[in-house]
Amino acid sequence: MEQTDDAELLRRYAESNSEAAFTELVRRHLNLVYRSALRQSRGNTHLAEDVTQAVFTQLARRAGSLCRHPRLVGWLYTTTHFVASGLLRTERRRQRREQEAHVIQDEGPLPASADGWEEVGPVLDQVMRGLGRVDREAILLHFFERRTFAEVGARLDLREDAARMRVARALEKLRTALARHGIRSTTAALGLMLATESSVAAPAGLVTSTTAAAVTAAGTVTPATSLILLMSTSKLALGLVALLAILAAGSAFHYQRQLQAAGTSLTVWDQRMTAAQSRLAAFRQTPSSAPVATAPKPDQRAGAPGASPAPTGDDIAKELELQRLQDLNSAASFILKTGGFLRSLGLTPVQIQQLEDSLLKELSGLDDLEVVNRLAGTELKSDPGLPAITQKLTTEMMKDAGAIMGPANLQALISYLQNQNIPADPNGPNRLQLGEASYVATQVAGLVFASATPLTTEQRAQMVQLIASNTPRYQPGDNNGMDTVNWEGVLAQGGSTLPPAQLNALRSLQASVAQDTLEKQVREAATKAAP
Amino acid sequence: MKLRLILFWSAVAVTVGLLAFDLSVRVRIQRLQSAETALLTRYTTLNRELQAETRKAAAQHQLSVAQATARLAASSPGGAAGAESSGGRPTVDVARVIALSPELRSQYLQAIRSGAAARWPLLFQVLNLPPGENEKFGDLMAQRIANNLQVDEIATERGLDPSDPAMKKLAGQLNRQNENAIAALLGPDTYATFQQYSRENGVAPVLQDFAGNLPGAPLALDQAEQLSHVMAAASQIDKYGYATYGTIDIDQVMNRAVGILTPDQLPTLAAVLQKNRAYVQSTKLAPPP
Repeated sequence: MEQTDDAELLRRYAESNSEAAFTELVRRHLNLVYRSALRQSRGNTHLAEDVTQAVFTQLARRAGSLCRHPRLVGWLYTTTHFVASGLLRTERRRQRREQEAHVIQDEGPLPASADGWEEVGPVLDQVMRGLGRVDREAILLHFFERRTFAEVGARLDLREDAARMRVARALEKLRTALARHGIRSTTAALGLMLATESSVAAPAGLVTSTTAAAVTAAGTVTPATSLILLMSTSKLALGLVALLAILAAGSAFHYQRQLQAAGTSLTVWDQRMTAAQSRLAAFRQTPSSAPVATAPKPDQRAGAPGASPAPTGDDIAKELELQRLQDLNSAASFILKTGGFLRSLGLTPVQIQQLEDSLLKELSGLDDLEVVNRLAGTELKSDPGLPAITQKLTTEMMKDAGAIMGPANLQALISYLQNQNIPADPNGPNRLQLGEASYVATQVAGLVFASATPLTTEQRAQMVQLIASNTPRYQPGDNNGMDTVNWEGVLAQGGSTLPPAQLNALRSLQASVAQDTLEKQVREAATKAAP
Repeated sequence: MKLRLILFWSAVAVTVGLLAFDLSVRVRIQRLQSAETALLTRYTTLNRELQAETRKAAAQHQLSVAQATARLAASSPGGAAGAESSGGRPTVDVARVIALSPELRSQYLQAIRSGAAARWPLLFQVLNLPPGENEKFGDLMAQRIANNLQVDEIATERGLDPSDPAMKKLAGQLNRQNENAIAALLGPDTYATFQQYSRENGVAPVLQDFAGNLPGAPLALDQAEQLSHVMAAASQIDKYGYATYGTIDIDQVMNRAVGILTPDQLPTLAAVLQKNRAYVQSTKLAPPP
């Protein structure tokens, strides 16, 4: 049963500090806690993430006693409420101060997830707290944790039919309570709304960050003293002295680890504090360094979906030319990315050039299809003709490439490219983050190549990781420009390790990005204001 | 009997010692956890402040842009967006809008001052000035932009176009003063180098990209210098004698680069030049909004 599993997982964590067990617990209950925190913080995602982290930190700290708790879901829900209330009070005080200073900004609205949810969301948790414990748990388990009636019954010690009735009655009570707040709905609609709301997933990566923070923050102490107290009889004294000495050594080792864990946790918070402080200081000194909100990249192409439905001959010619330029760009990027590796395989510049031509041939083979789809506002990937054309072009290119560089080298290149596309750490920066970081590192390398400390290959790899860890977790289509990099974080973390020339190059790039951003913002604002 | 007593008291002593050790460690862990809770609270507060500052800076920024745009629109018949157009869109005189807002101008000049090395990537590396002089030089380079902004502001205040003869005269005076200050700082030989690389700065971003993409076969400074001259000579030159960005004749450069670069470096240069040309041409075809 799931309950037993939860208890078992908590026990495993409490007894052997099993991080895997705790990760599984976080994964199971993250949505319940995060969505509840998000509702109570009125859509403030940063606050909701803080609350989530704090709740799981408490869970980790109290794992020893909570593994005997019969209603972990209820405990998580109630704790989320208390933690969110505390943080919200602080937030409101801060907002009052802001409003007094005439800085008026609305919190972002609660993300819309279902019809009518904007109305129900803000009062739902208040009404839920008014329900009886069993009714509340029935709703939490069935709608928020998406358990079947059989599973709900097992948790509440009811048969499946009885669990179904209990959920229905609890939903009816919830509907009646909401009606008292002026929110009218049918039971069926309310059930659908709850199910839809709870299906909205917490942000990707939150499981990992929450687990890491909670486990690090919770330094659980296993008492060794009880064992020592048992060993006080004189008859066994000789053996006991030896045993005690061993225990003392073991105990010291154990405590050393506990202290280290607590120390590491402090260091982590210290680093985060330092980064936050340096960002704050940077703001106060130069407001121009204000980070630009990450926004989806606008489709700059004429003829993109939503543009004129009837392309002219000029439109098509322009699109084909743009596509050709994009192919040239892609082929050049390929050579820049793989040039060093190809040379290490012993390929001559002529062979590399032939390889690029072969790639261009394949890319241009898809141009017509891509342009037709773009002008029609459809997706290339869903074109029925795509698989056959791609297969034909790929086969031809592989044949050409094999003839140019030999089959063994071709295989080596394929392996190299496959490794390039897979981030080393699945929980670390993704491919888009690494790509942007690599671009920034290239710019830095170009600014220090003639200095006393040019960027070496190892330093470049380290810098890519440093920058990537200070970028948002981009998704395809996001704005992933240099204006989205957390420069203060990069400079704060790199300040102690990078040579002065490289650090200055980073600062200089940051300022140049701020200049570009300012020009862009002024252009946009002035264009809007133009008659 | 005596041995048993000794053993007994030894066991007691070790037990007491362990208990004391256990207690002291628990206290230390407790303190660390309290410190961590305090840090967490402070961090949460700091984060809230940071968000508030972000919103405040954004609001202030929007206000400054709106005020400056309104001021420019009020002073010129064409409004903030001039009559010129590019790709069917009005061209905004960004510099004039920035010139009219003290806040924006201050932010802009600060960014230029701090980012001078990235704006003139080869020039700063070729000059290789000592730190103090480097900063002064960066300030003087930023001063050139400040002068232009000042002329824009005065022109707007007087209801004149920046191309008005009186304004051009003022700009000429300010630029001469700036040139003199740079010449005084650098000395005659370095000043001549500065002039040359200023004129070639239009090709510097391509050189920077090329140097940055050569981790395995680094570019030497003398190679970069020669390549800069070759690229500038293969570019369109504007009426002031400056190489124009994005106009490099690739074939011409590649032919001459054979005598400057190693065979390993050539494919990278070809790829960088091709990428740059594709980027520039696609930007012309589909300008960013």
